[in-house]
Amino acid sequence: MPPTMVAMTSLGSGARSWLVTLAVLGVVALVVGLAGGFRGAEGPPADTATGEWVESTRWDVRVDDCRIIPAQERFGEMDPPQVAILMTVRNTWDETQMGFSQAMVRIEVPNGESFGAQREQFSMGDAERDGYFDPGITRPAVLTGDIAGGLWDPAEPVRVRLATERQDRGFVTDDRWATDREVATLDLDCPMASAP
Amino acid sequence: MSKDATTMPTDGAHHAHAAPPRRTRRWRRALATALGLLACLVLVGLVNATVREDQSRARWYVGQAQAPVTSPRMDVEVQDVLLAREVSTGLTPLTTEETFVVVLWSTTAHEERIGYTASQVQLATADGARVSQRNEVSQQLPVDPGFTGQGVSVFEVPTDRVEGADLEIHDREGLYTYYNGALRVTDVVDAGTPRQDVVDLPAPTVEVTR
Repeated sequence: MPPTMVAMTSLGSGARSWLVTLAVLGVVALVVGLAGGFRGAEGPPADTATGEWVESTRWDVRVDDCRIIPAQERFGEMDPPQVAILMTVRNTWDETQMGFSQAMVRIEVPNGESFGAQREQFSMGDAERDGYFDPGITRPAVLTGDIAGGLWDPAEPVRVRLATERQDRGFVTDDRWATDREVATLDLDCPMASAP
Repeated sequence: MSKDATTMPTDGAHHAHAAPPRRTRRWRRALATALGLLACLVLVGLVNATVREDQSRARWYVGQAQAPVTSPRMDVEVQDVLLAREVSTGLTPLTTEETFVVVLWSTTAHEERIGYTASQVQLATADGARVSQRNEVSQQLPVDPGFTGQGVSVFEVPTDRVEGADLEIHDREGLYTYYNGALRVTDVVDAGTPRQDVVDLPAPTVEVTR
């Protein structure tokens, strides 16, 4: 008889039934978790346009404009060109946010690059002040990303994808927010900004 | 009966009262250890599911404006509160479409230096939102024991959520600070709080008081 069976048979029948129950519940939880958990059916993300408000989990967001910032020399070095998305955002959460969420915006440019939560050189901040966003306050924000792969035909649009967020509870920590599901997309004309 | 028969019983009844084989005991112990570890993991998961670690558990010391509120680490006193659309420290003014709540308050340190970060000083609105002070214009100097510091905090709040707000000051902040002391000055904004178009913010000061 295998050792586990020996151990099981040596346990009392009460303990055995608890173990079996726990094992069954564990398997059910595992299967449900692997299948994506319990959640409502989701429709495809809605198309939206500049100037329209989109509701996310902690934010209302309005995409206003897009610009390509040409490469420029700074402190003797050439900064790469950047794509800049100009937005208006409102913190709808119950506390001040120290920065705008990178988990809820993804930008895809025509050269194949994309900017999202995992991409370096992706910055998002208040366009005018320190990066704090207070509850209920509507403020401008700008997202910028360095373009590494070369510029594109200005007639080709830049795509912005907006998503809801979920708190990444993990098992021990819960202070991170992760992308949940995409709720809106929009295509933007993105002309070259005039040189500063 | 031989000596061997007394030391090595062979009947089944005697086996029923003997200790389980060593291998069985080992597996039973391993199973108990695994179940114990599983119980610990479940406990951690339950705690994590019910507790927000980004909000410290505070022991609250509560008082009102125009009088000292005392905790073991410090005294805090709110001296004046104003509402404004523009605030200035002499540099670029800050403007808002909503309302700035300007709180003039003092800190007296008891036994160790007190300093503040933006998220330690908050305005709690009547509907439960926590608004951190605006770093661009809020100013408090670190205060050592024996001294009292005068400072100013500025909060940007939607105009319709200003009334009934409390000032909250956490006396410690850190990534793993979980239990701390906190002071609450209730109803620092009410219907009678004066409103001005522009408030020139005073520079922070520290003076000897002991």
